[in-house]
Amino acid sequence: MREKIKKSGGSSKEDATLIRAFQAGNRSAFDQLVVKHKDKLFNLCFWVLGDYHEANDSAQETFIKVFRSLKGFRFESAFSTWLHRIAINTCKNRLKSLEYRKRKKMVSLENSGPAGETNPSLEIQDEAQSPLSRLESKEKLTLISEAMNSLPSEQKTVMTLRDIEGLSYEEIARITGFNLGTVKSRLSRARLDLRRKLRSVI
Amino acid sequence: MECAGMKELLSEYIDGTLDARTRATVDEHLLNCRDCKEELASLRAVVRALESMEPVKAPEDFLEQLHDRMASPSLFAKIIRKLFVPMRIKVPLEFASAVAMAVLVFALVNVQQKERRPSEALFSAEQSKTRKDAPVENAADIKIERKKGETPPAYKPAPVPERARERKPIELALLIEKRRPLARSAPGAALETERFEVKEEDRARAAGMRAIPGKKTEASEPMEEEAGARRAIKDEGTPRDDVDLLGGQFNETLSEVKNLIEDIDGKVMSTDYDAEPGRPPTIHAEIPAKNYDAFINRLSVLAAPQTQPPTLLEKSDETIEILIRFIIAE
Repeated sequence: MREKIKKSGGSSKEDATLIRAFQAGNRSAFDQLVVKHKDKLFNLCFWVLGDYHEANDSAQETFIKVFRSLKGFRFESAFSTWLHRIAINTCKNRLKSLEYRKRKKMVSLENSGPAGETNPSLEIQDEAQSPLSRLESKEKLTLISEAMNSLPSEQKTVMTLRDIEGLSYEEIARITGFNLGTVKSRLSRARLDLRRKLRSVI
Repeated sequence: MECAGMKELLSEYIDGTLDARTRATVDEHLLNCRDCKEELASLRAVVRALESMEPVKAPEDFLEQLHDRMASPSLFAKIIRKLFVPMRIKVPLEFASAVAMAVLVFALVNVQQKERRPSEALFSAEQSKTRKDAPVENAADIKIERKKGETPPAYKPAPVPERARERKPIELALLIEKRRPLARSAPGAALETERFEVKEEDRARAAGMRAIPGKKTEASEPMEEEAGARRAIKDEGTPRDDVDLLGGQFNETLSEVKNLIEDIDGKVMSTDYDAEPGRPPTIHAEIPAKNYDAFINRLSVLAAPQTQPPTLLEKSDETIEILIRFIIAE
């Protein structure tokens, strides 16, 4: 799985070529970058926010920010690291917003895309109301997503970047701005907490 | 190593990022600790579960949505667009409306000020008399009592009491009627013959109103003591022969006015004599605002005011300045 995500990320050389093309005035180069990174970025936003619509909104907002700043990109870091950093900050701001807090209790898992086969709509209010008859994969997704959402946002972010996105400790440190020791300790705590929360499931 | 410390290392142990020595320590502990072994197994299961999660994909039309969002201007841009585009038409229009608004506001403020001024103005003699007992705090509070069916009296805007606000002295003109022309050639006779239209009983009443026990009232003194009154003037400041031109009767009135000022706890600042001989002096005084009404009442007994003295509406000032002029009616 981790390999699959990493492969979908593509090479940084390809990213650099597209960025230069965009900086030279080729608007479609940006679209190619979006197409290349959208799923990875969306997945990250979904696991950090725990809501499909919020993830969609945040992913789009992230790309808009990228579009506005890409002309000034200096290649001092990998594009994917820069993209992740913008996405994490966008999600963090969204988590902080009052409106989001109000809606936090409602975990919405919904796929509004026409394909829909991989992310069927699921909406639960709390664990007790979770229907036992759901398909195992959907239930698992819901339960893990809920358990992840109950973690502190920084632990959740580090865990998403490591266990969902498959990034190295160093990459996580670069994206989040934490030092390596903080990344390790937050990841360790997040995993222990999640194991405790999912004891009955896993 | 204790189990608690060991559990902290299990995360890195799973990721394979521990150095060889620490890894060997963990391996050794796991051989002997069943709890930590179980902990490791469940942690691995959690990590595996997360890794095996199907990625949540973006909607198929993600790029189209993004294009739409990027094409639609932000709320701020929309507002700016509505306000200023097209600039050639909207900016001059907005400028013109801003100017019109400013003119309107200026005009309104001016009209309001004009409306306020007459209401602050002095009332006519009758009105001031009826209002004498009730102190007027605010012009807006003034309500003239009238019977049912009675038509309100025609309102005459009186002069604005600007002096009350700007602390200009209140000018009072006292009319003094002379029975005979002034005659410098016979000063002794003048004392006998010159008579000002200040009635004896009026002065007596003024003296009675002072009602200060133990204080000598000049008005009740006999007329023969004019010389004493004249001395009083000289004592106070500028002795002038001009005073003699006006006669002893005037000197007495002058003296009484000064005494009246002092009676109401006021202070004579100066007695200014005109450069032209034979003209009466002007008294410049300062009196407590609270005693103004009493002062006017008593002053009008001493000499008839040429015009109705203004009613003091704003009594917030502690003291007010008064300028008393004497007008000789031929």
